[in-house]
Amino acid sequence: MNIAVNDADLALLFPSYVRVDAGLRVVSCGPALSRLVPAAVAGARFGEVFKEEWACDSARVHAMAAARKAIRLSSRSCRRMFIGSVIPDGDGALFAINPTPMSIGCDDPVLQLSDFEPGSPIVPAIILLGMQQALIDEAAEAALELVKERQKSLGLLERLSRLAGIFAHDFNNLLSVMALNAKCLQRDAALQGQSRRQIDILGEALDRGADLTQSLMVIAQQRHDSRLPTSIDRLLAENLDIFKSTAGRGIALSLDLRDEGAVVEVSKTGLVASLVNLIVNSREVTTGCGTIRISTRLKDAGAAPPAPGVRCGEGRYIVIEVIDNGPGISEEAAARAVETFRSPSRLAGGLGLPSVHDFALEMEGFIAIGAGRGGGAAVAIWLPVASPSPATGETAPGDESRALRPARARILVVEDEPLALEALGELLEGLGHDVELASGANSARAILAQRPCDILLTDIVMPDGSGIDLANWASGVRAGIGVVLMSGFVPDASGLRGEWQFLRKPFRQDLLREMINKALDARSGPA
Amino acid sequence: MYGMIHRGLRALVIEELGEAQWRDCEHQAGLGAGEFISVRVYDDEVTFNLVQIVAVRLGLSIEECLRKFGAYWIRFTADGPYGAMMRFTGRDITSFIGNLDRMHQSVLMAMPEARVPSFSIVDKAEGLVRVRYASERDGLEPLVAGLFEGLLQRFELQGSVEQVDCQGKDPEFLVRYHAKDGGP
Repeated sequence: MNIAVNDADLALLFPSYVRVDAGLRVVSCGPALSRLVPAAVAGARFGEVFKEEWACDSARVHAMAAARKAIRLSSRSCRRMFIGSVIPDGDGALFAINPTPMSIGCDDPVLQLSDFEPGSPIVPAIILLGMQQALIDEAAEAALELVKERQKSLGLLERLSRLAGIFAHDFNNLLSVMALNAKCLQRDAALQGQSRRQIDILGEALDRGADLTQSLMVIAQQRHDSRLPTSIDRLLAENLDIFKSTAGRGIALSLDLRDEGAVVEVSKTGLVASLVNLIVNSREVTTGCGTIRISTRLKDAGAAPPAPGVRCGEGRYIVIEVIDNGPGISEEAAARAVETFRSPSRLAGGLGLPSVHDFALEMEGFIAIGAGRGGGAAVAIWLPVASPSPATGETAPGDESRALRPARARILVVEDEPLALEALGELLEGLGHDVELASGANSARAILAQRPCDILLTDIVMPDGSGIDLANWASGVRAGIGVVLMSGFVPDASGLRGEWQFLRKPFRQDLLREMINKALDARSGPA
Repeated sequence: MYGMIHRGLRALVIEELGEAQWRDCEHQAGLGAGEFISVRVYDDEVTFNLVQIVAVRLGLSIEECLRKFGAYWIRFTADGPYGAMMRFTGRDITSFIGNLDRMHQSVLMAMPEARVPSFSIVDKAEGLVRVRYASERDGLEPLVAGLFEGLLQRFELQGSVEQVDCQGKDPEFLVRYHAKDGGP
């Protein structure tokens, strides 16, 4: 069967075709070939356009055409190859060929789509490879953008944290002074009636202020402090004011605490910060009015809901749940909620569920997200119970004193804030102790070099040196000296000696007395 | 429409008005990172809503905004990760327009749910090409005109784009062009 096609039809079917005559001279070629191999013009010798030996051998060309062989041609004038087949064309031959891309994908600098015959599978292959490469580039760009955004957020958070920490620390010092002086006034039996009531109100307000600044300092640290055995119920109760402040006026926030005295080893900073994040999320979805309830329960591992990617260990868990009465969360959203690029609450001011999730994992627990009983969303942090024994750390007031403890101790007080130093001195003298005052680490060293003391009561953060360094030095030169450190920040426990005591500012007078007694009990003899 | 359009709109707003204005647009349109995946197809409503918001920000009518975006789209695509695909589609304006349908057919292999327009060259001559545009969507003729204007810039040509009245049939565009130095 013969089909009549002209050069225009050939150009459509085979954009890179070449027709040669019996003498292997080019008769015509397709538009793509003309563009890619400018030497392929009518009249040119085929063997001068392409490198192959047989391109100059007319007998071989005719034999290949008769056999309808598959062929490959390489241009002499440029780095370009073609593949296809050859068929007889009268006395000559027709080469139906396609260019081969010089690189994978769309990166060939010369080729274009119309250089290939209409049905060529090379075209979709090249396009799809090009799309694949573009998507990879896009993903890399998106990952970089995400990292930059996170760095910006973290940088801003760090700056805010530092600012908040500095403010809280300085305010804390002033609060300590006010609290100590208020306590001194409260001890004055002469104050009666209206004045007594006013002083009591002042004392209560200072206590609440102390709770707020302590919580602010915890959050301002924004790093996980040491994992300490902690009573969760107590921690939550202590931070209720900060939780309520975070929730805002329109939200009724309540606690329902039933941890049955169990203790977990947890970073207090991290847990408080995580709960603040959850409260922020709940506040946003309840659009500023509604209810948030924080509950604690003791549960067995078997009661744990499935949490994707988490193996729930054996034993008991304290479950801290934040439940709101917002619109709730679908199962799909709950399953995807901890993905790092997405939060159910786009407007949330906190870091979102991913950070809470990471914190829980770090504490060897996990989080579970679901629907609250009355609608709304419930996010539960499951933390493994450490031991049934009561929390250690800050001692409850009213501890027993030991018979061997001296009634009157020599106490060196080191504090760079002058008002706080004076107030502490008066307080300790009021408790019956002999007191020496030092305004910094250097003057403290000078005093201790000359005479001994029973107790070193020192601030940690001071302009002329760390209180911890001072305590280590003092323990060397005055063996057996009792040490009480005080600060608004919780120090890294690894730098502290086991027999030292720590007082968190602002502290109550009874706690100060208790720490002094414990330090005296811990000493191994007169310094 | 596919997410690449959203990315293009984002780039246009950031270039013209800055990042802060874009954040506002994004917030107003209720979009998140999930609406900017290039090869994912989104409801047209999402895209048209975003175009409306962007138009207001740019102080343009919807038609003016579409035309501006069409021209910008060519530059955005050429300079971005899909630039190589654009170059493969055509090395001159006539080849590019003539190869668009074939390129779209290949794209459909990866995005079968996409609804792509069709461009057919109905007439061409030196410095002139007449293109018929067919689409399931209405109202995007200004965008198409902008695309052709963008192509003129891309191939370093000067010229004009005019929509020709085709009496109810698929719209056609007359693209006249010449080299920037005044040559053919």
